This record gives sequence, C-alpha cells and structure tokens, in this order.
Amino acid sequence: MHGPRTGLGYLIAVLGTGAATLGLLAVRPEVSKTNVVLTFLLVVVAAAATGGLGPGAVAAAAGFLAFDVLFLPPYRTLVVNDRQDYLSLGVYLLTAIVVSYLVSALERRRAQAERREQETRTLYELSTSLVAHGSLDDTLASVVRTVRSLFDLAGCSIVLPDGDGVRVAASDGETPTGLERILAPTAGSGIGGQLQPGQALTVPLRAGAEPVGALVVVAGGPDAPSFGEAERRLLATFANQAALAVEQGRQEDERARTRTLEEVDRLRTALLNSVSHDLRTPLASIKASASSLLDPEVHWSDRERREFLVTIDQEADRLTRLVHNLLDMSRIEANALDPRLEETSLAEIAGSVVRRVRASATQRIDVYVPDSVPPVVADPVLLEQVVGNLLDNAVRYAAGSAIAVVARQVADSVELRVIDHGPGIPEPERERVFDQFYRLKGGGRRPEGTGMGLSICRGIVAALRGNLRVETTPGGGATFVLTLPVAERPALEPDMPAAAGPREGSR
Amino acid sequence: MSRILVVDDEPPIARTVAANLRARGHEVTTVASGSAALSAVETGDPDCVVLDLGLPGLHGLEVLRRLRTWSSVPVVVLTATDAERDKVAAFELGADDYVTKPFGMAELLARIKVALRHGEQAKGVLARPHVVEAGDLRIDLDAKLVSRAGEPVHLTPIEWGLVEVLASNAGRLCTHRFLLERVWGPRYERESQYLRVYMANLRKKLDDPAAPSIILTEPGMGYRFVANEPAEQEVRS
Repeated sequence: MHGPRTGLGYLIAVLGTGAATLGLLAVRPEVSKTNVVLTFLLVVVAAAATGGLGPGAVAAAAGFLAFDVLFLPPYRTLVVNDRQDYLSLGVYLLTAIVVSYLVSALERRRAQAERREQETRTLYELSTSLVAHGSLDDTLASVVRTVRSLFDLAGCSIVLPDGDGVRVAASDGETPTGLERILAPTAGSGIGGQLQPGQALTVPLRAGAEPVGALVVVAGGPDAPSFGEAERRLLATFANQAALAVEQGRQEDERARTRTLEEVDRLRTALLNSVSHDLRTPLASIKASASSLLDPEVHWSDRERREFLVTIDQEADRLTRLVHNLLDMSRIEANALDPRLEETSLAEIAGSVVRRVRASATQRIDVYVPDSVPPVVADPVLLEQVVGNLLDNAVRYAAGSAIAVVARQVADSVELRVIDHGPGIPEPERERVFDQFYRLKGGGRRPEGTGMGLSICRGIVAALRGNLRVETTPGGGATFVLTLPVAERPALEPDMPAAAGPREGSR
Repeated sequence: MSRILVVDDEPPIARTVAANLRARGHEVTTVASGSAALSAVETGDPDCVVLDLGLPGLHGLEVLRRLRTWSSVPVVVLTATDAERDKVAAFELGADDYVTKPFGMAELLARIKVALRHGEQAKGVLARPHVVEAGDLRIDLDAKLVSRAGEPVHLTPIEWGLVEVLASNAGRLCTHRFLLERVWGPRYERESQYLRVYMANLRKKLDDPAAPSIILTEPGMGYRFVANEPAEQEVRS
C-alpha cells in the first residue's frame, strides 16, 4: 500500500540516517561502536514504524553502509581491519531487518484494527439511523442523511416500488435522473473499483430474496474522501439491515392502516346501532299505545286511555327532538349550518333560555350576566340552541342541585359558564362527552338524552368561531365554558339602560 | 289466567304491555333489568316471559342463556334492532318467539298466547292437538292424513315430516335449523337448500304459492304455520 505515510517513512530513512551520520561523525573519536549501531537502529525503527518494511529496509541498508564506511577503520572503504567488526556488521544488519519487519507488521495490524474499528463505528452509526423514528418515511429520511454524511457523498436516495413504478421515498442532496429504471431486474451496479466524483451507485435493498427497494448514492466531489471497495462493502452490509427496516416499516404501516379502517368500521356500526335503537324505542312506545287504544276487544277506563295518550304525546316529543338533533348533526357534518353572524346580547339569550328551562326544571337556576358584558358576534338562533342544550344537560345530569349561568368578559371574548353541582364528569371522559352518541354511564341505568346534544353544541360553537370546553366545578360538578368573540363595535352608550340587567337568582 | 313477566327498561313500553295483558286477565309483573328478571323468574314462577334484548347492564341474550340453564319457561323476545344475528342467537339460546320493535299490540299478544299454549302443552296441562285446521286444510296428526277441501292430499314422507313439525308447532316460528334437525336429522342442520326445495313443493300442494296464507316465510329465520283458532279442548290431566 503506497500512501503518504510510506513516503514519509523513506524520508525518515534517508534524512534520519544522514543526520545520525553527521552527528556521530562530530564525536567519532569518543563514541563506541555499540552506540553507533544503536543510533542507526533507532532510525530503522522510526522509518519502519512510519512507512513499513520498505523504508525500514532502506534505513537498515543506509545505516549499514554509513557504519561500515565511516565508523569502522579503515575509513572510507568497505573493508574493515578488525575481523570482529564483520560480526558487528552482520549482527547489525540482521537485527535491523528483523526489527523493521516486526515494527512494520505491528504497525500494519494497528492500522487494520483502526480501520475495522472505523468501519464498525460507521456501521453502528448507520444502524442507529434505523432505530424507529416513528413512520417509515421518517426512518428512511434519517437513513439517507446518515449515509450521506458518513461517506461524505454528494447525494443519497432511497427508492421504493410504488404500484407499477417506483418513488423516491427519501432523498438527501443530489438525486440522479432515471431512477425509474433502478428497480428493473437488469439494473445493477456493474461499475467496480473507485467511484468517480458525481458517479452514481445503486445498492439493492433485499429482505430475504425479495428486493424491497434500492439505495442510490452519488459520490462526492474531488475533495471528498474516496469511495472504494471497502466503502462499497460497508454499504452493502448496511443495505441488508436497511432492507429489513423497510420491510418492517411497510408491514407496520399496513397494520396501522388496517387498524384505522377497523376502528372506523366499528364506530360506524356503533353509530348505526345507536341511531337505530334511539329511533325505534319511542316509535315502539307510540305504536304499542296507539294499537292498544285501537283494540276493539278491550274497553279501557278513562285513566288508562289518558295514560296511553300521554305516552304517545311524550314519546312523539322525544322522537321529534331526536329527529331535530339528527338533522342538526347532518347539517353540521355537511358544513351547511350557514350561521348569520350578528351582534348578539348574551343577557337576552340567557334570559330567554332560562325562562323556558325553569318552566320544567325542579331545581334552582341562578343567572348572572352583568351590564359590563359586551355583546358577542354570534347567530342568535344557533346560540340560543347551544345555551339551551347546555342548560337542559345540566338539569338532566345535575341531580337536582342548583345551577348557575354566569357571563364575564375575558380580553377579546366573553365567557359564559353553565355551572352545576351534580356528579360531574370523570377526567378521562372530559373530552369524550363531546363525541357523537357518547353518554355518561351511570350504574346500569339507561342513560337519558340522545347523546347528540353536546356534540351538536360543539359543532355549532365551532361554526360561530367560538370554543366550548368542560371543567370541574370547585366543590364538585361540571362547568361548561362557552367562549365567543366580542362584537367589535362598542356596545351601548354607557349611560343608556341595558336591555337586560343582571338577573339575580330567583326561585 | 296466567302469570306473565315483562322485562323492559323503557317504562312506557313495559307499562303499555302490562296494561294490555292485565286487560286480558293475566297477572303481570314488570322489571327493568336482567338481574331483576332472573330473580323474578325464580320467585314468581311465571308462565311466560316477555324479554327485551337491549337491556342496560346484563344483555337480554345473556339473561336468556342463564335462564335456560334451569328454566324452560316460554320466552318471547322483544328486540329494537333488526339485527338477524341477535334473533338467530336468541333462538339458539332457546327463545320461543320474537317481536321486533316497533310492534302492534295485537301481534305481541298473539305471540304470547301461542307461547303460553306451548308452555302448557309441554307441561302436559294441555293435550297436544290431534287435528290441526288451517283454511280448508285439515291435518290429522294421529292418522297422518292431510285433506284439502275434503280431498285427500298425497305427501311424500319428508313432506309429511315437515307438515307434522309445522302443524304441531302452529303459530310458532320454526327456524330452518329446527326443521332440518327434526325432519332430516341432526347432521343436516345447515342444508337450507333442501328445505327451500321441499317447502316450495309443499306450498304447491297445501297453500297458494303466489300468496301463501298458511305456511308463512320469515326471511332469514324460518317458517310459521298459521292454523285456525283451535277449539278449546283443554284436557286437564
């Protein structure tokens, strides 16, 4: 392997030997042969450690010559006087060569270990990019980013089959053209060896024998580190892992889709059952009562006749409410609510609703809407329906406890609170009460209501550009908070009598 | 006359059904939940139970399943959904008949009447009929003879088997499964096409196939044989 380090090794061999020779010449009379040999050996070790066996051998040879010619008398000849000096020369040469071999082998192994460690680190970092990032697309995006930065590439993309063609599922940097043909069976990476700058390489992603996609890389510019056999091998290893992740991700996506469909299906069935039951029940009561009255075989007493008629009347009302709610709901869902937004007085709305509800409610209902509360932007008819629904709801679920309706201004909006002191709504069901056909479960007893009221309220409030949420009443119970935007125009002249003053609780 | 238990969580329905049954001289108890129904059957020993399937808490089908482990009281099921599965399940659990809400009171009363009669036959209070008449059809169950407007009608053994089961269960719904099992045997429960073919032939011989009035089809469920009101022939044993 010829690299910059080999060159440096030769340089050390030549210059090191030269410098050692000059230094030793200056002190030749005083220095012993042993020290000369050791100094040259030092140069050999340095050259071999830096550049490998070649520079080590050169240093050994240069040292041999310098030792023989300049430090063994007679000087300037290869001949030596003392026969023992031949032994010194031989030992030096042998030692130098063995040392340079050992040092270079050690160095080679160290470099190998370092490269392997580097590869392992790279592979590890690549694998880390595969660790669940949520959706498949997120994972792939993280993969291409990591591959591109680790190999210093100009671009990296992942191509997946999509119907009959392919799609680029994730891409970072340059994307080569003609990706459509990449998954064709004939397409492959025929190019071997070093990848030229700008050249593209396709690595197939295989899960088992099945090709699930391809990784396409574009080599970086001339400044980028080379992309050769080793990198290719590394990428191929990684591609196997990535393929498994792709396959897993695809299966996960599919499962999630199936789950969603099942959930939608389940909800639709539940909804249909609920509507079907809710419509049939009052109809059944009406039909049963009416057919009883028509029965010629039985002579009903006046009291019995009246009971049947009351049932028919009440159940017809129940059916009417239900049909109304269903129509409202479909209007909301079809976005056909078409609110007529105008300046609306909450005090008036609250007053009229409370008057109606008080007529049938048995509990105390307090209203407090001060004059200082400005008018809001709303559709008065729809707003009355919302407030009415909230109040009916409170009456139905608050178990006879007192109810309060309170309004106040908060910044640019007005908050209307319908406060009850009933059993309240458990935290986990807080949001679900606004779901269609959701009814609080109460100890085996059939829940009252249609399960549509709050859902409709929320739909209407959204159309009015307001907000509806539920909180816990301090001390227990539910508080529904309706927020609506304040009308922009200043309300009434401050000294004019308000249309509706504060209504302190009565009854 | 009879003790009847009405199980429905909708007070207007329970009230109306009870009023009608009382007007016909029955003794009626109403309960609104499945668990109350089970204990009411145990303590009250009713002659017939009217059971709503859509009960809160313990579902009607579960009530029926538990009831059938120790009682054979006739049960007429009320169902607010027309889900075939619930009806079929109710029959497999041993319901005697069903009525779908909304129902006419006359229909429910007729079903209860049939259920009561069968309950009495099962107990041996009422003798099984020897002769069943429907329109101008006369079926002698003892002599195994069928005549239409006085003319004898020839039936194959399978056809006779069907007529026998249908006529002796007059007024009740006979499910496909029940008929197949009784006429062909337990291994033929699922062979509904046999039934269709034989019923078509039988109708040609006994009924008006274009507008049947004696052997009625209940789609997806089975057949119902409509007999003339039987003469009161109580034979107290």
